[in-house]
Amino acid sequence: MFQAAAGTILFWALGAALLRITVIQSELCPAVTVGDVHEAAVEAGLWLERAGLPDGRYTYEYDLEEKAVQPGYNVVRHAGVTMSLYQLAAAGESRFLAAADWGLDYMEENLLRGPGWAAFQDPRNGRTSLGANSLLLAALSHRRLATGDDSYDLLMSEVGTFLMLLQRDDGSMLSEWDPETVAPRPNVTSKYATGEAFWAFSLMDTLFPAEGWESPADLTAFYLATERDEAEDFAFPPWADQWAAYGLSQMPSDALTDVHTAYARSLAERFGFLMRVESRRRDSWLSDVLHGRQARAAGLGTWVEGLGSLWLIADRHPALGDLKDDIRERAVCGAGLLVSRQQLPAVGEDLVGGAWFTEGVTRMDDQQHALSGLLMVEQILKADSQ
Amino acid sequence: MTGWWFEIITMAVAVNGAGAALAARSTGGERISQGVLAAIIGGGVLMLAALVGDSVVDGLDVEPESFRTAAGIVMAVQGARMAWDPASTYRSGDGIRFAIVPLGWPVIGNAAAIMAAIGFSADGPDSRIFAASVLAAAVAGAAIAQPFGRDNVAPGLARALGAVLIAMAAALVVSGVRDV
Repeated sequence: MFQAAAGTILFWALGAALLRITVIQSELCPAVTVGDVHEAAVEAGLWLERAGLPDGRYTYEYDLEEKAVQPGYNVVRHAGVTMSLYQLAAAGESRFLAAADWGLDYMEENLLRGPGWAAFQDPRNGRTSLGANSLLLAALSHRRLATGDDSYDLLMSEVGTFLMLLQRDDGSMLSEWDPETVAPRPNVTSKYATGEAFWAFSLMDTLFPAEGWESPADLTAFYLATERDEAEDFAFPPWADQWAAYGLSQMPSDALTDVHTAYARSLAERFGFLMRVESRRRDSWLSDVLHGRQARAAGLGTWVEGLGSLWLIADRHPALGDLKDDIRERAVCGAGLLVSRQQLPAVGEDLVGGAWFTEGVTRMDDQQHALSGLLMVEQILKADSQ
Repeated sequence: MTGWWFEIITMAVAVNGAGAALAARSTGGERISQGVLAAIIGGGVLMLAALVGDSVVDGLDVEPESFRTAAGIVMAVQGARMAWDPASTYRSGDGIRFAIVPLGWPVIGNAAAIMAAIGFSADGPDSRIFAASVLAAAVAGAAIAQPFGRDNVAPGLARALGAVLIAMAAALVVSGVRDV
């Protein structure tokens, strides 16, 4: 009897050890305070400020080992970085307005214009994309929220009109404008940009409720919630779309239907799962093998942004009320991971402190998404103390 | 989060009374004593697992949803084993001591049922898991004690319960992955 018991115990111990290093690896969520997340967001903002280039762009990538700036640029990320700096300004750090306006100037200097519309065009290749312009509009919206300055209202309306030119009848969005045919490129869509456009429309509806932005916002919201994942052929829907979550959080509570809240719930489930998996990952080869490499801040940050946005919905809408605490827990966990992984300032290294490096390289949108996510969690933590 | 019926059915198929009956070899009056004692021991193991479930999950630093996924994997392995060859693993002998090992533990208080009890108790009220554990252990004890159908009914039923356990395990894994 005892021999059989000993054999069973040994077998169970081996099984338990196997489970422990795989499925139930400890999920570490470093504790953070409002001050921690705010300070980390400011450090990220300072990195972006230092990364500003004379022509209005930002340093795109920096290699820690080679101590060298890497070539390449992406104007969608330029618009996103600028938007995040305005978010930081709107969160009370008005000192970042100058850096954000510098990035905005670059976009203003490269506007393509048509009858009643304007669009930011990549000066290197003439590409005029839905994504860059959606985030330009989001940046202008946050600038307005941060400053109350209405001097860009006309441009906002023009960029919004451009986005509407890319909207199809079913709410889906074409992602490219062809300057030669002066029309959208047919059948070209983007898995990222539709959510970005929805958020931009939602922001416009919030800022200018009498101007009719509700209709395009609703149309694309419905498409995102019901058709987008299938249309874009995602193998494991829903696509973890933080832009869609931002947009939903911007919609008035009474405009959120069962379709919207069901979609929001599925997003919360996806972001929550991603965060649980991420919290198991360590900076070691064994963890890389068993759990995958730690997500770069541009990925982890988007999950925190998504969770933060969904928490805002759960905070005010009963359909998601039961998820509020879980969403909060995952979002705060993500912020803790971000804070713990942020590079500390180093003497003589302008592009190190405040950044997040993955395999020795940081890209400007690592700071953008981490910063935006941290600001979201700052709101959650502040709500805790009220 | 799982529901009351899901928990009862999962505990019942994880304990697998038909499989427990196959492990019992005694005859006559001793068989009844073995059944009663095995149910008490096995039920006690599962109640203890439910009692310490929260602490175990907290101590492991994992979310209940993640533990549920692990429980589902263990249940799937156990279910596959029962569905494949329910009679092969444990055999008791004559004598009341066999009611403790293997019938009480690890036949009734098996790995899948223990993982389920811990996982459920980390998610919901312990009283529900206590009740489900007592019920499942009592059914298994009765199956050990009764003399009928061991050779013709129990093997097929044990396989069927193993298959149901695989389905419950899949549902548990999916819920562990999907929940926030």
